[in-house]
Amino acid sequence: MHDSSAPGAGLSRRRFMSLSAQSLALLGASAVASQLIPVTLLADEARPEALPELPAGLLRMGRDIFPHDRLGDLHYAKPLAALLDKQGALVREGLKALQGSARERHGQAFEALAENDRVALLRAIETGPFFREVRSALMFGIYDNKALFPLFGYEGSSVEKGGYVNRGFNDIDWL
Amino acid sequence: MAAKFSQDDGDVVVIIGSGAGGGTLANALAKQGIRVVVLEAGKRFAMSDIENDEWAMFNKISWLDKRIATGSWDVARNHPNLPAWIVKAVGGSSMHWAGVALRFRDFEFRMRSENGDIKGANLLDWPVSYAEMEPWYVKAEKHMGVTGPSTGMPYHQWHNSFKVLASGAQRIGYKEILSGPMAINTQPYDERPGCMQAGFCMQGCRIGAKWSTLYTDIPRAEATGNCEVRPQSMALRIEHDARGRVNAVVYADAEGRQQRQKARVVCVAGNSIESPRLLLNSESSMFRDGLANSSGQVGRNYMCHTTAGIYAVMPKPVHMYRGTTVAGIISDESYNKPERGFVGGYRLEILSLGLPFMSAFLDPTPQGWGRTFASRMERYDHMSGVWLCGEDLPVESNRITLHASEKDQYGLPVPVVHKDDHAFDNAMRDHGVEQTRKCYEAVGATEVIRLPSYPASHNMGTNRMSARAADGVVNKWGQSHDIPNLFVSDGSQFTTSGGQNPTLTIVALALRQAEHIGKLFSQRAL
Ligand SMILES: Cc1cc2nc3c(=O)[nH]c(=O)nc-3n(C[C@H](O)[C@H](O)[C@H](O)COP(=O)(O)OP(=O)(O)OC[C@H]3O[C@@H](n4cnc5c(N)ncnc54)[C@H](O)[C@@H]3O)c2cc1C
Ligand code: SF4
Repeated sequence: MHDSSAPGAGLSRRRFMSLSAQSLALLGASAVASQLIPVTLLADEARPEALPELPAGLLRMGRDIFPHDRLGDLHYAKPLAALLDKQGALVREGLKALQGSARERHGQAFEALAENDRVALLRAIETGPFFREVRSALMFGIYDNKALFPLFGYEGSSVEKGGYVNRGFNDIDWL
Repeated sequence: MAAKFSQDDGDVVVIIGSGAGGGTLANALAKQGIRVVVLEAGKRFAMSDIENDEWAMFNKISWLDKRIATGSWDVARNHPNLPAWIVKAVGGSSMHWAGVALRFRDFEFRMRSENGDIKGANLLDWPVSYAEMEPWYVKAEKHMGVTGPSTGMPYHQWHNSFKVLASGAQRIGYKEILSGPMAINTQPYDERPGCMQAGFCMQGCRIGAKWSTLYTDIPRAEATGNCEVRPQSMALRIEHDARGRVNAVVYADAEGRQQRQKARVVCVAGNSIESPRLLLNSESSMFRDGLANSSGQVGRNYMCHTTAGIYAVMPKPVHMYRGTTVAGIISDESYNKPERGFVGGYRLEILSLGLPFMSAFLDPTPQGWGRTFASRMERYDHMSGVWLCGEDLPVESNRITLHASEKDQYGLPVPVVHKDDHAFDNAMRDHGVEQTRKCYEAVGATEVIRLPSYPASHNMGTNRMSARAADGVVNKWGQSHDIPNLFVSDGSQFTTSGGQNPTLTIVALALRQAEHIGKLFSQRAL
């Protein structure tokens, strides 16, 4: 439902590689996380052509809003690209202002800053329409994305499987 | 077979709304041979339209016409255009409801006598007592299929999340710990199957184990041949004759065309925002402040229960989404003990949210993002949570009004829902959150998170019952003090909220009102 059909054209392979290398490194760093990652998520990582082009800083901002280190960039990039399609002007202008304050305060692009500096810049705009739209797009894109449910330990629709009456609704054993 | 009545047939009872109140009433009248037209603003869905998908169902059946929330309650800040979570569909909110079917306690019908006058509250006793209501509760429980003594149906087996809460509750000394009463079958009952613990009660029960008028009262009313349900029919105003008796309802059909159905009696059951709104919108030269409003109480005393969401992160997985959404209730705090710093009681009810809703409600404030938020979401499967349901005091200035300029798609002024919490509400909320924290910490919770109130799912009080016409809108039968052939048949009749989920009481009142209307018909008094 939230899959974007955003253009695959204009892909910056190098940018993808650097970002995904970063997230894959984090993945590898956490044994627990890697156990939880379903095969399909890793398969997504293996298809770099699916990562849509985004204006500089947007993906970084998205990852800062809901920072799940074990999630691949694609899962942020898709809802962000869909938002760009719908609200291009709002997003581009908001991002421009964000980059403006990053340069003004720190003399660097937003995505180049340290996490606490980025977070401080985002806190300053969290009540504005740009931030709210990005947050809301990602809230649906990440937490209402059936492909990602397993990563959070949620099993989704169950009636077609007969519910949980015979599938562990009362199987807790550690109390 | 479903009946089809002429719009000129002035002999029918017109019921506005097909939810818990309206749907029950339609069936109970139709079974007595009384001819009924139900006007329902929403669409009619089939059970096969029900999905195990939180947002899909929310978007499909919720009342999303514009509303404005004002006041100091959490909801105005976090959900300024969604003060309440109500369904717009045949079946009304009995589609979304979770099935907790509690009776009021005796004292809850006489809060004024028990507690005297409370500053800032517009407290009043109900004109009906528990003793009068008790047989109707039994009937309602049999009617809806409520687990427990009235039906003999066993309570639900405890699911994981309730086991966690209940162990904690036992450790801190709580005694009243039950997985019911629920209007959810635990075994086949009334031609509906037992619950399969699918865990999407608040999205609509796909198999019909949970009671809803959509697949019980509505089709049964139609089967009598005395009831016609008109979906996508939004009542715009109620008209009256020169004597001041209501005689027709003007409504917008699916194409937005205005239609007019004549009526012998009109019963308003649009839930506690739309019902007073309709009465206010029906003002005329005879009734300048709206219908049934000589007391000035229409739209006032809006109550929605004192609530909070409390989610604990446990040391090991819980999988709270497995099993019924709310079958787990702790009742030790549900008594009137003013020494706690507030009046009335509350219950702690288990409540599971799926991952999508958890992300929306965990922290809906602008601050709800970042590392803390994300790390909590990563422990979703370790969570167990509670919803607090407690007495919410009636306050006159908490009310539904009509917006001065903004109109909805029907051309009607948008309703403004104003609420400031009473100091006792806040005290109760803090108390409930603290007690819940103790329960969860007693079983090793690593974190206990307090959520702001959700959009109001329980809405009450805006056309309240009163013994005296000056104090309220309807009498003990839900009949308007001013207009004898106008009734209110939903939760807006509530004089006080009680610390109990409202639907069982709504259904009991509707069954009782149906019998009364039947009597008045046979006496030719209507
Ligand atoms: C998520 C959720 C969980 C809940 N869980 C519980 C629970 O466990 N226990 C409990 O007791 N209660 C619960 N409730 C509350 C319960 O659903 C309501 O108390 C009950 O359904 C209210 O009944 P009602 O007849 O007043 O209104 P509704 O059932 O809301 O019905 C009102 C109907 O009127 C229609 N309508 C409104 N205005 C017009 C108009 N002008 N013209 C035509 N039609 C109109 C609406 O479309 C709607 O169908 C829950 C509610 C929600 C949303
Ligand atoms: S848990 Fe039971 S009542 Fe709830 S939706 Fe599933 S089957 Fe229906």
